[in-house]
Amino acid sequence: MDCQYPLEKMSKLLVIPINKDNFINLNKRNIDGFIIGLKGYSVFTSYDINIDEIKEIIKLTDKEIYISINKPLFVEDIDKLKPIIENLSKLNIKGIIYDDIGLLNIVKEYNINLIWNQLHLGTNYETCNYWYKKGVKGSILSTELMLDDYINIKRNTFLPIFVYIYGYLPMFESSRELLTNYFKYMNSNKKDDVYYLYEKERDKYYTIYENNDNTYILEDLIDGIEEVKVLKENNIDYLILNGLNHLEDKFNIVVDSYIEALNGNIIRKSNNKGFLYKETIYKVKNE
Amino acid sequence: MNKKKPELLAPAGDLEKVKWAILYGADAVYLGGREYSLRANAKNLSIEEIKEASEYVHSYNKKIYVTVNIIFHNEDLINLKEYLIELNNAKVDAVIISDPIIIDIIKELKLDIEIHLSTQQNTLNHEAFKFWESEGISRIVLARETSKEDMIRIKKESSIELETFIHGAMCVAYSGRCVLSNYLTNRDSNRGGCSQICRWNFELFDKFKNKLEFKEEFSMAVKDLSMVKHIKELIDIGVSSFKIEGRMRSVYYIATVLNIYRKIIDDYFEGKSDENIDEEEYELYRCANREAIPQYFKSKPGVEGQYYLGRNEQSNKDFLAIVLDYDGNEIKLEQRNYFKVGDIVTIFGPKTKRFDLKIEYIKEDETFIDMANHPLQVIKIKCDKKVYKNDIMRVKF
Repeated sequence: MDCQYPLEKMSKLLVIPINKDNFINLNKRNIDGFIIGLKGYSVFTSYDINIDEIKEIIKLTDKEIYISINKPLFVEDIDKLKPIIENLSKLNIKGIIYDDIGLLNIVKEYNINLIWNQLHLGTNYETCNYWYKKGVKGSILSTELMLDDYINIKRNTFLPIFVYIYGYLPMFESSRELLTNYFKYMNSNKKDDVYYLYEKERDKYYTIYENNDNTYILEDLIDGIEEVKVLKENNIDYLILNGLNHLEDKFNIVVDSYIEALNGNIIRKSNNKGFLYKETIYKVKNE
Repeated sequence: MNKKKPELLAPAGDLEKVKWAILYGADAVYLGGREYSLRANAKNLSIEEIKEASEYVHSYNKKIYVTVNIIFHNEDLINLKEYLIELNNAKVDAVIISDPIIIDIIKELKLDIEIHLSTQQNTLNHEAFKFWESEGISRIVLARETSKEDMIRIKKESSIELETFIHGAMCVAYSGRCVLSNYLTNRDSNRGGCSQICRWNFELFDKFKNKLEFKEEFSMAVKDLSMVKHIKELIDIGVSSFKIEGRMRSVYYIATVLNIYRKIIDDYFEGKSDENIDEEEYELYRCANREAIPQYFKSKPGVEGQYYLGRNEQSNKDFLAIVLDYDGNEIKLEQRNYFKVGDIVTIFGPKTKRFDLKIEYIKEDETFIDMANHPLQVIKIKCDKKVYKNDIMRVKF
């Protein structure tokens, strides 16, 4: 597919804020929009709010607002979400970020933009094109891709491409309460909201926490600030920064640095580039 | 009984296991090719072997499904169309997919092949079923987390076929939503490289990074799935296909698991009550050497669903021999594990109801010996009861 690019190369900056104060603070900055979690239905976001609160914050901004509904949805969730989706359809939001295909099916009767984000499954341009043909308006690609993959996917699809360029990397999501279970087995109680798994092999700590009766594990921060220029030159439509697990002051500085980077000023170096330059393997031996 | 008999679907890691699965009562087998399968490091089958398996399976009026269920990266797309054409030419009945691009390719090429959606797509609700049905998917493998209640609702609201796992290992994470393997070992879990990090132990630290001093390290490992006591409920719900996990498992495992579930399904449709269900449950436990529970079927598993203590998954040497022949007086056997004169063993097979037998003597080349202690050793033992080729002899327990 030969996709036509706009003459002016640009990437928009979307931010997942930490909380309402952070939202208000960042709203004053030169960013293009926010991703907000829907309370009880979002994962890997920290500012999750209900429909009434969404109505209120929309009044506070003229930036793009995406609502992330990206948890796996059980039958009961679908039933509860239907009236919420109807309410969302009446609001001035830019779109809904979905993971569960059931959500796609119930949203299609409303005039709402849908952004495909099946977490680790957005890995090639043909699948992007498949969702494009279904009327989807964008794709948040997997964080396990290389920089060249992002560029190649963008070149071969009409679907607007969102790249998660800064934030803790989601590695694991289980419907089990693994911390609660462990403490119970040890005749103890879970006291903290967040714990760390220590891996001896690489001498690394991984954040593990429970939310909504599920368990999540995060890898280190990915920070692709030095890749902003090349992503922008290759017309990646949106860059996403996630404030999950951050202190507000530090995150605001990060956001400012990305605003600068989009203006051509790289003012700091990054430590972890995730898979941007690292290829994964899946066949250990060739027969 | 008006209910439709469900399909019993067995894993087959190679051609030999295809044959054992069919022999032991599978209605269909699923297997992976050398490309695009989520068990990238299993032996898997070449396209020629898939053709041979297809012919074999169809000669018994059974079905064959091939997993093409990786999540594709750009570079994996190159030969995908050609591969699907080859599978179509091999007359496989269905492909099991995760990535919907295959739907478009099969439609574009007008291939005569059904499309089953893998559990890797994590399908948990009726609305998702409706979407995939409209896309031409004929069957969906339910997410592992689906409850009985949700299965009933999905079945009520969708006419698409439901497939569910009934036995075998579980992912602790939602399928497709774990990339621990990618980050910790650089092996892509969604392209078949999963290095099973969930079975590692980890030290756990609190929010101040102080180590928690418990007697066992933190583990995510979960027990296996066993639906042996809930098969009738699954039939009543209208689940179309009962899937056994384990493409990398042994012939003994496949034969044992199939033999038990085949009997339970058939007995139900013949109106027989199953009085030996506890024995069967124990037999299933022994052949995998892992504890198993019904997982999410009745309620979400809690601490009882986890493994914390060190487990012994070494072979327990229960599998003693395969029957090669029977002459009305003696069984000719091929040895798999040690046994000796005086042992009491159990024999079972597709046409042989499980029975116990005392080893009165062992003969090798017409010479009486005390024990069978060489793998693949061909020996004879005394038996008055009729047995058949490919019956299995195991330890009595």
